[in-house]
Amino acid sequence: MADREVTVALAGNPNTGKSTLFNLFTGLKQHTGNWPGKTVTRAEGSFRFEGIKFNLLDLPGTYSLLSRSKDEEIARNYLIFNHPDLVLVMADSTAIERNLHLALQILQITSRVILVCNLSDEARRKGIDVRTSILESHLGIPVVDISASRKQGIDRLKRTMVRVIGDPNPPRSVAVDYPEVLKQEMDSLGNALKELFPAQSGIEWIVLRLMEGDPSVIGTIESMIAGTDKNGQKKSDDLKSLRQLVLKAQLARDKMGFSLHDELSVNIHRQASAIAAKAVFHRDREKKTTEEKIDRIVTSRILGLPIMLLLLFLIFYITIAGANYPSELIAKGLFWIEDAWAGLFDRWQVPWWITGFLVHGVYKGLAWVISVMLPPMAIFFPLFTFLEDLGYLPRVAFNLDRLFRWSGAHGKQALTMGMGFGCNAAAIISTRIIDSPKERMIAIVTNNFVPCNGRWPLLILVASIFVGSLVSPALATVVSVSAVVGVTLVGIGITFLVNKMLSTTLLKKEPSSFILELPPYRKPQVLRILYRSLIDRTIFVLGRAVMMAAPAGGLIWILGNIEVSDQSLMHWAAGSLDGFAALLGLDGMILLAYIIAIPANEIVIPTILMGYLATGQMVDMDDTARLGQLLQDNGWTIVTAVSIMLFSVLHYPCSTTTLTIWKETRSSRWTLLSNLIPLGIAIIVCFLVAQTLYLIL
Amino acid sequence: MILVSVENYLKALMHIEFDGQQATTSAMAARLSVSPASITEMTRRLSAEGLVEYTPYKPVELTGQGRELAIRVVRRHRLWEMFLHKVLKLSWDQVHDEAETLEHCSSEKLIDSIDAFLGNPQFDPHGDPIPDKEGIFPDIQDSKLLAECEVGEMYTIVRVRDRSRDLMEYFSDFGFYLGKNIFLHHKLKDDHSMVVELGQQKTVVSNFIASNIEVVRARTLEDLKIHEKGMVDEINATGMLRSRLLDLGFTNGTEIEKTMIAPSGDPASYRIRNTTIALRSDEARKILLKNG
Repeated sequence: MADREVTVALAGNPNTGKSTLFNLFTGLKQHTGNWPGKTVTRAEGSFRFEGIKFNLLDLPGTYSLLSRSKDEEIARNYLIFNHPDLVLVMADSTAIERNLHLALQILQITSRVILVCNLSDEARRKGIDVRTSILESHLGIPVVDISASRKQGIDRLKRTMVRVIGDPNPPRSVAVDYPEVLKQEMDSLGNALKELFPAQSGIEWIVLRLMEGDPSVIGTIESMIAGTDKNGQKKSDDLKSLRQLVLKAQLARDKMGFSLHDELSVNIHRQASAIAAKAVFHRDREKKTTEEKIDRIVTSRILGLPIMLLLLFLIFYITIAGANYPSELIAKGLFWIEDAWAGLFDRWQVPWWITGFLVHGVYKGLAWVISVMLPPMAIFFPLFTFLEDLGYLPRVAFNLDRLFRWSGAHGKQALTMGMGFGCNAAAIISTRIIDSPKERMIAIVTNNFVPCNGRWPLLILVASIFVGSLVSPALATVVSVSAVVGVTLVGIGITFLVNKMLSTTLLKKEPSSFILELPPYRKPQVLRILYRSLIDRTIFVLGRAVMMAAPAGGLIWILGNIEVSDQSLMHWAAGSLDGFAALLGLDGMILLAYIIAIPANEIVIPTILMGYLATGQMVDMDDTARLGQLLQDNGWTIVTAVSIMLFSVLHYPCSTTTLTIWKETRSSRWTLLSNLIPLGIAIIVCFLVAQTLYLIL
Repeated sequence: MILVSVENYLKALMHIEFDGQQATTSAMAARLSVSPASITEMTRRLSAEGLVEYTPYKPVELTGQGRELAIRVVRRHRLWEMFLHKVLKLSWDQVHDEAETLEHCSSEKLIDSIDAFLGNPQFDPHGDPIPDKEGIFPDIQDSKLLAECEVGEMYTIVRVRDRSRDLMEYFSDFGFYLGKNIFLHHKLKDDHSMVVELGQQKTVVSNFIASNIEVVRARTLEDLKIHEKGMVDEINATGMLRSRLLDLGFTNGTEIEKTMIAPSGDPASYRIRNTTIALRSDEARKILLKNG
């Protein structure tokens, strides 16, 4: 028997555990992408239960459907026009009242809804008693309480889904009490609209959108008319009547003399709070919860910032210390394959240049990127996601907002910067947590100024060889660590300056608001953390990096191995850059390495070494002393060291990050600016610092 | 009816002293709408009884005993006004005349019961302070005249000065009452009248009227102390911010508690509808609280 297929939309407030339930239902049978033309994540997946195939779609988390924000527009239009067979509205059992606000709105669009009260275990622990049967009788739809993280109530939910799907008569849901004047207008406009679209559900809601003059809803209806199989004359008649209807709707709204949005919000909230008052009971309301105690400590004047810095330090320490060994192991393995592969090609007498290009170029580039990128990311991302899952990160944004606000940015930028220390490309994606477009763009453009995992090794290496050696061995470690911290602080300082510059110039007119929800602390779920950090972040970024690294590896090999007049292309190119590079305190080879190693900062040092040693392929050196000698032989001084450290922190995002910026902004202008602004700053800063140092020394 | 006149005389004298004016015979006569001769007559009598201090050709002053009596009359008047307004729902413009009569024929016991019944109110319906049983006035907020306020700010009406029936009717008609939040939209340069917003209605207010309304800066979420609770009155913002706040449940009558303040003093977090939302002070300042 062929399976019946149904579409289920998952709606709800942010932080209600929507994605937990989604993952629980679909497991690995899911794929994420973007909504057409939008940078809002769209996750789809499916599962089978009792002979029915459920296709699940995760709608963006929203508090309401009344506003014009991107997320709400997507959720609203989907519910109105795509007619899902069933909508699961996720609610947080600890805050039923606010969640009902959204549920009541959705019930005006469709009555094929199940209210899912998640986090029921947490609610019980907090002394909140949610009576689902009372909710059911007031809302007219099934209400199921579950705990997605503990997998409680999931089977009951699935059976309820089957029951609602199988019921030919949809449940009769509760109506929202609209003010009398509004109700009359809605009825008359609704009847006119029904003549145009007899099959459309949620007519009332469409009428409200028409009254608000919502361009996306009007546009969709217009294209629905254009898409019908009616003849041309009828279509243009329909369009005409639609336009009249839109006009009438807006006249009606102006006549009413109150703000529609205000009136609806207040009415729906009132109804939500009346229902919640009957169905939700609180015990020990006055008892101070552990959560409040923790919050008071992590946001306190004295301990707030130290706790944050300590956690950040721990994460970096674990990442850097923990990544070394696996990196070496992977490198050994992958480079063994390189040698074996090259040996095999030799035996088969494959021409040297094919072996060189494919094995020592493309493959080596790939192997290098994987071995140096994978371990730090696989350690950093789970740790960061752990803090995210715990609910600590919004508190960081809360603590630091004042600082960011000064520069015209959002406190959540602190989180995207934190992510940037791990990987700038992943950080660009994480800017999605910033709702207002202006602050989000600022966070995207300036993220490059925090050094990622790929840049730490260079900073540490150069600092310990050149800066640490300036003082006695006893102080060497302290001084070189201070140098690394110092350039990092320069990067952070420049972040604030560029924030300020952008918010007062190019992005001046964009509207913005702060408003940050501080969700309750939650016990992190290991599996979900691993899934999100490894699949969503690590593999995703690595995939993009590999795509970029393969051609770059080939290019580097070609430049190093094609000789013109006894010199490789690489030396010719480096030579031509020497003059300009000297102004910045660098040399041509360094600059060339930054240009051709653009896919990943990790391969900058190997490329420079390859150039100096003329080996024809990227090399690494374990022996720091020998490496220092080699660099000095090639003219490196303390000026070169300072300049390369500054250039490394400032220059421009790697091509993986640039690609991500383009995918997130869909704006070539901003993608270009995200490269040009850092490059300009890097050139100016390096020039000034290098020239000053030349004068002093 | 001599008793009535004594009380009214003492009350008028106290008001004149309260306003910082000099209680000359002519000023008193004008205030009480009687002839100067009857004022002189009454002054002599009360001076003999030790209620006022009087030296010819100098302003009259209340003695301690006289002030005590006057305060008691004021207390009766204002409590009656409050009772008529709050309990019998008489409008603003009606209560003064009724209280004028009632203040002279009520026992202390009745007045004390009214006081207790109303929950010991501190201000009468016009915003004037009500002295307590011991004759002590409550502290008065530092208010200023609406006419002297700055454009673009939100204020709360705390007192109205002129008691003319005309003006009180105007106030009732247009929805001006004590505790009402009022937004000063802009001032007209030429005649000093101003455009204000009351709720969502815009109204033009003449300079004369604005000079008779006393206001203080409106209380907002920002003014809450940590762990203090307040009730939302309205949101003084438009566009995206307004919709966002409405969606999160910052609607009229919602109870809110300030829970945390960031280490740098801003933003702060608020408990609303069982969730915690952080707002910057710029945003918190736009959410007005109900008064009293």
